Amino acid sequence: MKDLLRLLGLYRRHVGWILLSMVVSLIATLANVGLMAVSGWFITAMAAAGLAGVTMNYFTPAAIIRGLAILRTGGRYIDRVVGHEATLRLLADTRSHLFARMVPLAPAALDDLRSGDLLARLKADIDRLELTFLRLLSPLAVALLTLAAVGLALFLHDGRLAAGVLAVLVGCGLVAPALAAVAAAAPGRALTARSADLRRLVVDDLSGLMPLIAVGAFVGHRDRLIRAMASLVDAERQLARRVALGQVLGRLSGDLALVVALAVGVPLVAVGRMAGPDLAMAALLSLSAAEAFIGLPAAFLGVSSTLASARRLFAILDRPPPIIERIDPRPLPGGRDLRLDGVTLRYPGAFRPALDRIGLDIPFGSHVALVGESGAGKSSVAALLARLRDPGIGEIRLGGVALADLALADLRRTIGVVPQKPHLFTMTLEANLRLGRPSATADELAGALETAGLSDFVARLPKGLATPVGIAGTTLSGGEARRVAIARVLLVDPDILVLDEPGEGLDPETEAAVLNRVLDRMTGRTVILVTHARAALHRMDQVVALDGGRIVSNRPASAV
Amino acid sequence: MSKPETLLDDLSAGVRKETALLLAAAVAEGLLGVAAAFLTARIIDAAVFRGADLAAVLPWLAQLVGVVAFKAVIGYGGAWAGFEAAARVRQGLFARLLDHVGTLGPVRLAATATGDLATTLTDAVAGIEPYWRQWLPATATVAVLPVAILLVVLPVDWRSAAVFAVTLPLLPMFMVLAGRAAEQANQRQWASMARLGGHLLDAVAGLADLILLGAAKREVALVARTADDYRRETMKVLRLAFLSALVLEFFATVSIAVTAVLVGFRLLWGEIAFVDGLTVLLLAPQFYAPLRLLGTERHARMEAVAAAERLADVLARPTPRRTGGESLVAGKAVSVRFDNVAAGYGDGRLALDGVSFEIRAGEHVAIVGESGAGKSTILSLIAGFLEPSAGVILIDGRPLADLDLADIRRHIALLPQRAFLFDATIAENVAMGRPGDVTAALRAARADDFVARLPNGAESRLGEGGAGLSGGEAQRLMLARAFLVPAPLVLMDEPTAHLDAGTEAAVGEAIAALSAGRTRLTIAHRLRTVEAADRVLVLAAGRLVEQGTPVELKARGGPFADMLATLDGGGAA
Repeated sequence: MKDLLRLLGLYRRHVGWILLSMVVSLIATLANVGLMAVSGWFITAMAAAGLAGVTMNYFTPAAIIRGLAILRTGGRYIDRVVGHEATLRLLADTRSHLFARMVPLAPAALDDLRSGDLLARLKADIDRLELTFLRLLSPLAVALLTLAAVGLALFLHDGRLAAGVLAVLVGCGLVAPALAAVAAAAPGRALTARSADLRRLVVDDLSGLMPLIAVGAFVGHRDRLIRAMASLVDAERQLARRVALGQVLGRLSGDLALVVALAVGVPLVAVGRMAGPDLAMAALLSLSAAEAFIGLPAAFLGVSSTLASARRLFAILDRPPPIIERIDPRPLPGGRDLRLDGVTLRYPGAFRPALDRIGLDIPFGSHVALVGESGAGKSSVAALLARLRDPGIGEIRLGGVALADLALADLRRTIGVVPQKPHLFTMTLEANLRLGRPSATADELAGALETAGLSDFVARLPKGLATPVGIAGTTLSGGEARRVAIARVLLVDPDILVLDEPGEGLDPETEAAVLNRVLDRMTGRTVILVTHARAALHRMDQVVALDGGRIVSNRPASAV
Repeated sequence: MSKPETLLDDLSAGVRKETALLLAAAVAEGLLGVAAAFLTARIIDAAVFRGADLAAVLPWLAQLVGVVAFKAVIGYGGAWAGFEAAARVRQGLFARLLDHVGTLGPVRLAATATGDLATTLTDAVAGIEPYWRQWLPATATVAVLPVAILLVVLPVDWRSAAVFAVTLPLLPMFMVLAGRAAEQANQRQWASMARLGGHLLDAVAGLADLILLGAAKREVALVARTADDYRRETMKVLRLAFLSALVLEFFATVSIAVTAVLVGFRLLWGEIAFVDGLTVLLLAPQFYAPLRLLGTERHARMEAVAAAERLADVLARPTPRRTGGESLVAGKAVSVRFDNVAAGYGDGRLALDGVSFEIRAGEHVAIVGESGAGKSTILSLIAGFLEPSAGVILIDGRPLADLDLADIRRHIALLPQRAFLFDATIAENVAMGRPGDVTAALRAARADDFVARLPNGAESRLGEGGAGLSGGEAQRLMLARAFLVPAPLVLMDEPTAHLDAGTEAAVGEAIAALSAGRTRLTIAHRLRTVEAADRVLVLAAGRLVEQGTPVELKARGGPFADMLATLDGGGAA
């Protein structure tokens, strides 16, 4: 419930559109209900007049029927347009709100979202929440208001008639689907869990298809998958039964309301307390009022998954941010010397600390290599320097000032990091390069590309810098993507450059050439090279070897 | 275009009984609605024009209750039949896809991203469900109900029947027109929604980079602006698209209004009986309802067809036909012979072209060559992940094609370059359902030390992709898996390529100990690996260009000598 309120809070800014959409939707629904009711009244009255041999004013009802037909058709159109307009406005707002809330969490508190699976789930959750209004709130509001209008129209003729019809419509059209949805919640949860299980097993087995087949374990795993599928279908069956029950009862509500209207109305006509045409009107009104309930079973069923989505999303947003920027940061000092003092970092749930009491001096202008096997803690040093995380114990100082005391914008302008797995955005090459400094001139771009060894590559592209890089840079090779990432950090022109495994995806000659040019460009400024390869070590001043989170050696490069 | 539809038809044929049941239920539900309209008209007629009281109409009222209750039961039954039909289809299809994937194997599927294939196996299999649960019942009602109602109305009031009959062909015509426009708009809308979602996901996935570049704040504004642009763009399309739906709706609604007014006047003039007039009015919405339902369920069919397209695409991939079922009786080592072997990956290019060589039992052979030279194709051919397009492969003198694939694989220990660990315990990852001494295998692979240090030892559960292990540790588990059961033929793709020097030495030692005396075929990227081999095969562009002992080849100054510089540890660095 709390999550639902919080969700509605996101909608507050667009309350005008939401109300407008509901009003239009209500008018269209009532026009349809009214069309049948007035038609029923009209033909009965005409028949009565015909039998009595008198004439009647048929202009007004005939005009009303035509008017309602047009109102219904036009109303549906406006309803669709306004409903989508409202939804898309909500969507734009929700997305930027969610994204803005995620920024301070990234990347350390969002590490798990790097997995495509979780990211896809996040997308599904956001989509579902954005459709909550169109699929859930609007139909429910319209159903309730239609109910009120129908009840009022019937009440004007007879209280018992109104009570009977409303009781059926509420019971069958509203309460029964709601109960069915409540009963479906448990199978729905089972379904979600089993569907996730199946997907996990499928991905795992497909990724490991070669070892599975090679050791002859495929048949066993295939049977396991088939069992997982059967259990998923079982959960779906439980769910489908309850859903079907809710839907059938929902559809039954109109028919039963008609029966009740007739059962109550016929005696009223017989004793002369109700006019004949009014009985026809009441009967058709009751029958067609059920149209307002058609969307409800689906809407109710969406409630629990919507709430689950909201819960998951809010749980992400409520994660504690990994670092907190000081409100009154200290000004950037003049010095650029780096000093790590007793720095210890432990990832939650890890067997051992990633960094264990690291002490290191990196004077401004020095070129330092951090070497060691994967898992030694090299990348953790890079993350701490960029303040993507803060050390659990110990401190890192830049020019004598603790990193935690600096403004993040100052810090990240000073220390540039090329991450181990850089992400290229689904934009043009140029837009990717300009991310850090949109104001960079063409010459600066060319210079950075030259240093990263991309000039020839760009020159060969038919569209040059305007080439789209594909989804997450998929049209580039790993080595090209890596060099784009280097170029875009070089454009920011940091005083301290951290390169995390820049050679990945590059052949040894290219790697050496790129490193050489980067080191030349950074002469007099600090470069920290994180690597497991031995290339270019001869150009470094200092080589620090890490193992298991500790410094095992720190020697001048000439001694390595 | 006809392919996905054919698949859906084929699948339907497998659940003929359920399908018939669900079609019958849909039609019966509609016909009971007609019956209910008849009864309703009679009750109102009796009460208004024949002075009947409740007792007089009670039999009809009771029948009406019976009809609507029966209609509800039938509706529930139809939903049940739809679910069961779809469930059976999906389960059968899932098993068929798994078997297909198993027959194709990892090498032929290498061009397909695992994520895509997984989505096909899960989402696409689920995605064909609406075809049975929504589309088929809608087609059944639309085929039967309007005609049935027309036949009922015709003798009662031919003028209303004429209105129905005239609008009947108009509606599908407009529906096709409107449907197509709406379909396109719908697709465009979802495509733009997807793009929008893609933009957000892209930004979330790259958030670390945005932060490192100090670009996060700008991106927040961009996310808002992009979403707003999409709103404007989408609404422009939708406003037009909904117009065509408007036309459709207009015809259906106006026909009802016209019928009501026409019937009203003819009642005034006494030309028809009231009960008939009311019946016609009550049937009018039911006449148009199936067509409108079909219009809304078109997207169910579109979804199902789109899913079927993905499924048909996977199922259409040709599988190799293997007939061999003989078993291999081998000693400690086997010999391998390639006789003029050619192979490709189905795109016309040959990965191997007329390659012949012989490996004696117990020999240790290294394969070198640039990437794309055909090195891994040789391993894939021997392991049966690929069939030669020409030539013969002989294992211990017997054609590989005659041997039972599962049996030959039991004789092979395969060590890939990259470790793959399942989301299971260490013991399960090593045993993989085979009998064998896991502890001994771990010890032989030098993995016992670090496994003992884990909280639950060999029963520790590994995360996705072996999370928490270093590259060396993971590779040692692969070694334990490969050597759990002794195999006379060891195929390796430089398993130490991604390890640092210290770990490489330890793993290399374990490999040497475990594969001693067996036939070994190794793809080599490092000079050290090459030098350890008895003999070297040099491949270039799918052809065997040189072979001999490492010393011979170095001395010869041919392609191998040129290649030495590019091998890790062989160059100047």
